Amino acid sequence: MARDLTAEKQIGRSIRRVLIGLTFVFLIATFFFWRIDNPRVERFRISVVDKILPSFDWALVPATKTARMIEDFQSYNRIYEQNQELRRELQRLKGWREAALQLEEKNARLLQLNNVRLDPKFSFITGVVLTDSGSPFSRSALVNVGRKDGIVDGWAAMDGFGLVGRISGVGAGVSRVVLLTDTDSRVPVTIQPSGQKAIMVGLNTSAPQLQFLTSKDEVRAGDRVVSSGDGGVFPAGLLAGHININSEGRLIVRLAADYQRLEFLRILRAPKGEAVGESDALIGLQNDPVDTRAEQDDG
Amino acid sequence: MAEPITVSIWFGRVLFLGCAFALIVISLVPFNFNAPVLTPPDLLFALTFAVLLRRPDFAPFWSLLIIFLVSDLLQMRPIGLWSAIVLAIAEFSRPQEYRFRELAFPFEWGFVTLMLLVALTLNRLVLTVSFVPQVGLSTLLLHFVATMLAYPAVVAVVHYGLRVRKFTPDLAAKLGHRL
Repeated sequence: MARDLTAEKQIGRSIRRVLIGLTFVFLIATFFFWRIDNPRVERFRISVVDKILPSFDWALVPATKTARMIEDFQSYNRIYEQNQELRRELQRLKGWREAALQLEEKNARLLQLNNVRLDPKFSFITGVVLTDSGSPFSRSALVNVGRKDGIVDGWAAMDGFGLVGRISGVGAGVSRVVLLTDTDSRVPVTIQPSGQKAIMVGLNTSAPQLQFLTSKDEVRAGDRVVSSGDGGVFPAGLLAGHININSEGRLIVRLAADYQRLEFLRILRAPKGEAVGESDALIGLQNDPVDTRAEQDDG
Repeated sequence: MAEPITVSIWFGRVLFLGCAFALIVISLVPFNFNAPVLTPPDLLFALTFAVLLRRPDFAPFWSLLIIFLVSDLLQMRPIGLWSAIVLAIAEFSRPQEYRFRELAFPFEWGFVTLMLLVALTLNRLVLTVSFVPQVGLSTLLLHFVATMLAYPAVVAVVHYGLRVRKFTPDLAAKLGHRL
């Protein structure tokens, strides 16, 4: 009887060992699969998130509300200074408003003269931010709009002030926005007013860096950084932020979007651009226009 | 006769799973999207080892697998790698539990710090070899130090808050055949 028990125990132990070994093989294989066929596994990930997160809503909503309340309470301490600051700002802005109104009038007249048709492409879908990435090493947010709302991978996300990130991963009811500060984020930008092109690279810090700039001398702190539209991913002309120079002399972008409190995000519908592939496409020998985005997805 | 013990083991397992999921959910709350100045600690790792080195029967292999796989999926990490590393180290540490029953806390702290160092180094090594873009070394170092410093606090919560204590010789003898 006692011998049976020990034999049983040994069998149990070796079964356990085999199962643990198999689990490790499975996990490592998953990692390599993720590395090799990233889009497919990321699609799987977003579909899992799609299933799990809405059912966590009951837990997330009170936690979010509490966190926001604490934040709001903290801001009461600074309310007097803020009030003074706002008053000063308001006075300055009143002057600007007058100037803007005059310019708008002038602009409308000029547009009418030129008979310009305004671009209808900037329509957007607004989503509520559900969660952040939850990891110290990646910066992303989950919003509650997805494939059902017509969201497509690669679209730009903005808050009221500026660019926030891009859609990367779309589930049925949720989609993930990779923020500009994430280490995976690369956005082609133009610096105004010098008109130089650069790439804005996320570094997991609060301010992304500018790289591949032609000449650093033409750029000054405070210059505007807007998306350039190169590569056909983002529409051109979306404000990302303003240039700052950090202590190491590198050019960083102080983001215009309010990353302190992202509650609602606007997902911009990007129009399908026409790409000129062959030289004869330009003069119309090829009838069907090539969709840049579709081409990129395939490639 | 063994019923109360079984019940208490399952209670402990559920408690551990619940705490782990609470940590994951809290980490997902959209509070502030600015990159933090100080990298937050990996509380899940600390909780796992705090429980594992007290009551390994509360943190069985399958529950660790579920917790770390879910956190891999939800926290945008490379899927499977961190789970595999943590599980391997946890399985290595599980039989060491009896050594810490009599020892003072600093020894346990040192052991967990060493394990954390091994885990992070392995993780970084594999990611580097497979050319996955990564955060800077200084961020990782801060993360390591933060987790190390958070461990005593997590242990205090586990010990005084959740009342998960180390085995007494009496209880260990009772459970002997299950360990």
